[in-house]
Amino acid sequence: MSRSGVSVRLAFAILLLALVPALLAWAGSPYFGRLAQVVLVAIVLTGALNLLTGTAGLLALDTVVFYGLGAYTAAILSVNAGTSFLVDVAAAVVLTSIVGAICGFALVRLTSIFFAVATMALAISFHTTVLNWGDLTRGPMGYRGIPPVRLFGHAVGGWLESYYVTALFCLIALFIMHRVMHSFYGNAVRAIREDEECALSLGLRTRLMRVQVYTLHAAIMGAAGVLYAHSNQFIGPDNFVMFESALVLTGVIVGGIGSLPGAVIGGIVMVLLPEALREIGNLRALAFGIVLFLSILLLPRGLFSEVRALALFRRDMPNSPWSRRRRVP
Amino acid sequence: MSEPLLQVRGLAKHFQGLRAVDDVSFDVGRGELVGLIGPNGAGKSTLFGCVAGAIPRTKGEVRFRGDSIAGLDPGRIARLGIARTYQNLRIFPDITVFDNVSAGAIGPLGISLLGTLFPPLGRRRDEAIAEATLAALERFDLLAYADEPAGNLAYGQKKHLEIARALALQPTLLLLDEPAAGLNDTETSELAARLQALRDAGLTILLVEHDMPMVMRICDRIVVLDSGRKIADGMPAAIRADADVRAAYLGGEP
Repeated sequence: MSRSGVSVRLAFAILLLALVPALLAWAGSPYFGRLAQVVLVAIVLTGALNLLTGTAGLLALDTVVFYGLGAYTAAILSVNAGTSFLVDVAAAVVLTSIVGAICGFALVRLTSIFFAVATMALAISFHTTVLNWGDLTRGPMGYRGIPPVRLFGHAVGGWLESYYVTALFCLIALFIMHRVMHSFYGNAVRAIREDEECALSLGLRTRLMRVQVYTLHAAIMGAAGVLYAHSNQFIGPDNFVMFESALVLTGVIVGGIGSLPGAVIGGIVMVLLPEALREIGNLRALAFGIVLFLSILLLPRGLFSEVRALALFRRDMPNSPWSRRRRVP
Repeated sequence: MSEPLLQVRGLAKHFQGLRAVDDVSFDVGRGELVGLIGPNGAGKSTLFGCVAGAIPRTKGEVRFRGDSIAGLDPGRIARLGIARTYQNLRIFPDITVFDNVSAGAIGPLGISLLGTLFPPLGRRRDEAIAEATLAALERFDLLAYADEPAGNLAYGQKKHLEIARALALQPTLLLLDEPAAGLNDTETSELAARLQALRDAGLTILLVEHDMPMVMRICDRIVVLDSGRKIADGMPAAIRADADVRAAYLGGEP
């Protein structure tokens, strides 16, 4: 097997940390720098949702809840208390983990359509809360003038520097998701997805694992929200409507449900395709819809299917008998 | 002689008026291969479900290694050392053969999110899971198919895969629900040889089966159910000669 997951990971890290920044510097336009950051945040969101919806098989529409909680945590803390970036990330991760664990505990009793509708209700109530809790969220006005990322006492102002912070964070998030999805833990979660009753009879702790996955996905999305708030410098309730959840879910499905490389591709497509179609004006939304429809119709397993992704990463699963350290004939 | 591994006492399962399992008692000793037979609708699978915890019993007692397990959830029972297979194949078709079997190994060994995020912390457990998985695959000659999606296997191999997955739990007691159903003669005798090898390696097996020649050939002891009640319990030769058993199978009056 010539192509292994290690070389794919290395190539992707080089792409994000060297090639893309070089291209951005060459283009020299803040527009592309900004676009690249939006793509990176989208990749983290599709990745985290793919962990829940793809690997664990729980169709969720609550992306905006945790993404929004993270973004508002960053906005409120940094505007009102002048906190640094790492404090914002820590606060957002702690908050979304706690909220995620509580919601997860309540939600994992539900499956399939019931789970989806319950998460949709969460998303709607989050939006309504943000809109109406004016004292905390500034209601429909949203937060303006969120300071750029502050790291170790100095502001990361330039768009290239700011890109690096987002890229580094995106790589860390992807690495965490890679560890979870391409491991025995991921195997167990997929087994629960395939047949919960049977998985239970094998002794798997199905509910506990589902709560863990739900909490982890919430924490990753919360951190993505912090990045979004600092890079966009403005957030409002309109950033966190149900439609955004549906868009991330579409990215997961177009990329390949259950596949981490698919989630990366899906995140890129969901941001770049509408941008590329900007030229055609009002027909953009229609063209975007047609492309998505055809993609799902012709490639139901996505652009990079779960089977292919697992085959790619199987051989460098940590501690597995398939890893280079202990190869089995 | 120590006490039996599995003791079933006065077990009953009523579905409204129907007494699917009616006051059944029997033992399975350590290292025994016991067959559970009976005509269609005799209550074999229901009894099986009650022992494995998948079906809540109406009354009665089930003891495993002397401790009561009746009323525990199926996950607890599996982690205590009772693994089962299903009458109608329940493998995970979309994931690989290796991943199917590893799910069985993970059940009792457990898996932690922290050990997954920081592999050095989880190394010992991961290696135990890999070892149990590989041993189970090897025992059923499935190593060559380890990276295939389970749905691509032939029917007989899928049956073997399900038993291999149960074996990966490293159970003390294996409950098999009609493992030979749908297999041809060659596959059935291959399966019989494997079950005998497992028994010889010290595993205790309770086998529900319709294939009478196989049951007669490999079981140490046979329990016969009819209409939810136990009608016979003994060595294969005695069961073959039993008038009640013949009547139950041939439909005559006992």
